[in-house]
Amino acid sequence: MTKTILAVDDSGSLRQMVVFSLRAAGYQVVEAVDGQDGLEKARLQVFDLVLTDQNMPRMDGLGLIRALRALATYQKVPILMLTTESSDEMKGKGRAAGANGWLVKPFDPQRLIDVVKKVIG
Amino acid sequence: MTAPASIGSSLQRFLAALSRQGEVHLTEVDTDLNQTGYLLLQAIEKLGNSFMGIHQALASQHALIDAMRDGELLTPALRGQFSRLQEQAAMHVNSAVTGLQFQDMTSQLIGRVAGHAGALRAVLDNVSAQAALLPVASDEADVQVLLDALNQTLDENGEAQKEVVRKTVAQTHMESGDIELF
Repeated sequence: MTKTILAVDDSGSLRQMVVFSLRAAGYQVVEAVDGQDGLEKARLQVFDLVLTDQNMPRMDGLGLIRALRALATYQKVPILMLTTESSDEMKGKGRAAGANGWLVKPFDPQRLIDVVKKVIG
Repeated sequence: MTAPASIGSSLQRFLAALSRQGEVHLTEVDTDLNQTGYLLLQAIEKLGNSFMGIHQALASQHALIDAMRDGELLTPALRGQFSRLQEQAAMHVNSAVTGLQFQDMTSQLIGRVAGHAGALRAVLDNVSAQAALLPVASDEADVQVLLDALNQTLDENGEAQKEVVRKTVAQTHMESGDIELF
């Protein structure tokens, strides 16, 4: 069965590249324009993986992770951060919030696919 | 004969002019930043769409080549050449996808600069507002009160700025970033 990924990023061009890369690898991708939009879409459907940016309007990535982890259906769903933030401090906050991995932008499509395959197959 | 200006009124005029001119410069900075962001967005949309078009054309071409190979219309040497070209194309596609992410990072930097311009505007507004409260016939004591108030405001702003100053975009190249699974 095709795995479905929620891609959350306020940059349209970045989402376009994420969608292009993941669809080429056979995944279905649903897009969200910020954390709030991502949370609303995650409440309607349980995704196999959430890939989220950190710095976004309305709700940032850490806020989204905390909100998702508070939902019973998202206790064990893998969540990866894909962000320009690369400091250990931010990675620590991500880990504490419940992120399963941290990818620093820009991403290489093949490396992104390799990580996603490793996490959800 | 014109009475000499008091130190208070001179300071008041100076601060008002500083605020006014600062505002003019910051408005120009805002305008240019908005235009830069707009042009970057337009450019990346065009590049992204062209890239997608080229990729689709390449995929169609690959399908034709695969059909020719399966129908044994290609010599082994040509098959090898096409395979190598496909590998090269895939490598360039990956590289282009990485490079096309530059707009995301530069737009964050533009946002940061705009934020700093806004913070500086708030400082100048505050200076102007506090200077306007200075009595017309002010003396050194009034000026001292004003300077103390301005210093206090700047100290408070400095504390508030500490979090904003943290760099969110530290990348200096367009190669793939680090990956860490927890």
